[in-house]
Amino acid sequence: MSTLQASAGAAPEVAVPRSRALDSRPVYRWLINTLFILVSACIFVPFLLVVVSSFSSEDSILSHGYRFIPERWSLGAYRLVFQSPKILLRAYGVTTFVTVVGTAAGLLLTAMTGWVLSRSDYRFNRQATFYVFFTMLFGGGLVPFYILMTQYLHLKDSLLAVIIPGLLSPFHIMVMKGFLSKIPFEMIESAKVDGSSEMRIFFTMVLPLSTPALTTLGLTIAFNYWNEWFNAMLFIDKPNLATLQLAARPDAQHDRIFDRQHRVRQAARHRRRAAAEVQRTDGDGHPGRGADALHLSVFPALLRLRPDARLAQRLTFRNGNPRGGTGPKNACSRRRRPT
Amino acid sequence: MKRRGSFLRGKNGELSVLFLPGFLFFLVMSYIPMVGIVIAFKDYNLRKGIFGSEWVGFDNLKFFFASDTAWRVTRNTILYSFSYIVLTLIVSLALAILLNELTRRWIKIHQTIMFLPYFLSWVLVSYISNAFLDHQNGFLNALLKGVGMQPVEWYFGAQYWPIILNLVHLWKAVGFNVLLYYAGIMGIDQSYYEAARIDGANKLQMALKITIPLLAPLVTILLILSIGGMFRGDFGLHYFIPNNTGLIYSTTDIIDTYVFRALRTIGDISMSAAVGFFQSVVGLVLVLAANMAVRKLNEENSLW
Repeated sequence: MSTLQASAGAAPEVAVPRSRALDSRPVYRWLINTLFILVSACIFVPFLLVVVSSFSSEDSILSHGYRFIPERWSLGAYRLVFQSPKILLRAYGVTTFVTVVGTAAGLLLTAMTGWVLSRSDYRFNRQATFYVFFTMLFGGGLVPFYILMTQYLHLKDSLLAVIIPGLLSPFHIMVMKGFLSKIPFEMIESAKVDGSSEMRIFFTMVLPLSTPALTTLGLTIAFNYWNEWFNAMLFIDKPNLATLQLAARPDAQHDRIFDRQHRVRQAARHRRRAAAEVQRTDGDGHPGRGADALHLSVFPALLRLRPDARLAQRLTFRNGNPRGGTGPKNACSRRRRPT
Repeated sequence: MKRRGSFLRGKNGELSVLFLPGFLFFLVMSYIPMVGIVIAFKDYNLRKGIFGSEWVGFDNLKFFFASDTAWRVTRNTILYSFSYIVLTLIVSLALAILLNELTRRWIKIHQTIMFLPYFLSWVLVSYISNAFLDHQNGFLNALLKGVGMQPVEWYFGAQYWPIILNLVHLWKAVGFNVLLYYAGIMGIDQSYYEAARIDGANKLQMALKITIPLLAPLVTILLILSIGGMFRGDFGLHYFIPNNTGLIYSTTDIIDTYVFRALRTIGDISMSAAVGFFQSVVGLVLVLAANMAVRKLNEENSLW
């Protein structure tokens, strides 16, 4: 060992000793490589299955199930989507609008809030920090939030209901604050000595300086808006305001918690539609494909997954269980457990 | 220096103005709903409004806890959160450490692939899981039939779901967490490893004695945060992946899906609010407890 160390000291680049360094043997390198190839394969294969099945013909899926190599290839699913692209395009438009507006506004607000919290010389820094981060620990829950948004802010069927809740998150502010607190304080001081106001410092110095953080956070926020479905599901009923994720929902049936009549009507309509589809499926071996919004998803591939089992399940359970039992009896009786 | 009366012109005033939008946001989105918690203690009536409705005390909570569902959803929420946290932590940490051994090009490739599922919403993931689990056409059942076994009715069998949900969660979360831990590993000063190498340490020793201890603060912060969130389940995962099937609620139903369903199908607003309140309170207690435990173990790693 000592000789090895001595030689290492003499020429560290060349002769760094790796005593018993089993791990540097090529075998281990290969093992790790193989492991990662396996892991990546496991993660990628599900995508492949869906993409492949989007290119396979309806019949081959119905008769042989999903396969990695279909019996017959076909572009039918895509044709179906592009036959009536209007709804899809609209959903893309809505989602793009929400994403662009939300990300721009969200980034600005996150930077402003993060900047104030990063200023330890701000008189109310402690209080402000607590004010923001306490929301991470405790909240009112879904119900008060829902009532506030619909009854008091009247944001039902407004895209603001999708945009506003995603604007700020304590987590994003925390990341931003961490980044901004690395800006040397001397810079701020010297700007102030030169007579610039806090506003000016923020908009002309801090914002440009924080481009790296803004890019990263911007990506995250944009991604969240693009994939947002929860608020859309709660607040958006109008089909022409449906976001992409909402349009893609397997049960693109919207929730009207307060409007029971509507729910009853919808349930009836849904049952009728499902029954009609079953008949159509039985008739010519093709699953019925109404103008249901659910056909429109990011992967037209996913169209495939609609028929048979899912539908059968829906028929079996919708009527039996609470969810399907959106009928009048269930809806009106208070104190009934959803089980 | 400070001129009283022109607060808005001074440093603190201007910073307060910058903070104002954030202040209003959290006031409206977080603090006002907290006031709405009173609904949990009232018999909410839409016409009478929140403050006009009658007080019923703890009746809503009592009603919830008297049902079997209370135990079921609480148990499910906690057990799932726990296994998600543990599984994701172990697998991601191990993969991140191993990833460090690969060459740059391979790291890029694997990271990109592992990250892919993170970009999908649960809505879309549910289609993928359905392609595997569908009773008639699903890939898994085709596989089972192929080797001469009986096809399984996944959506009717509660016993399969703990495994399925854990796998799906891991599949979606692993890429992001590996990235997180890998970034942490990148931040470790290389001179530690050089010193260890000169002392003759092997890779395993370096991982156990350098990488993991130096990652501990990051891991603890993430852990505290996720323990605080333990009582807040993943609604999308538990709602879309099991296809909201009633037969398997016993192993898939969590507090979040229960509240949503109670609100949506029964319209029992007060009870849903009560369950939500219960969830928030226990969540708060859990974070405080986790932080206290960490502070006992190691003062430096605690959040506050």
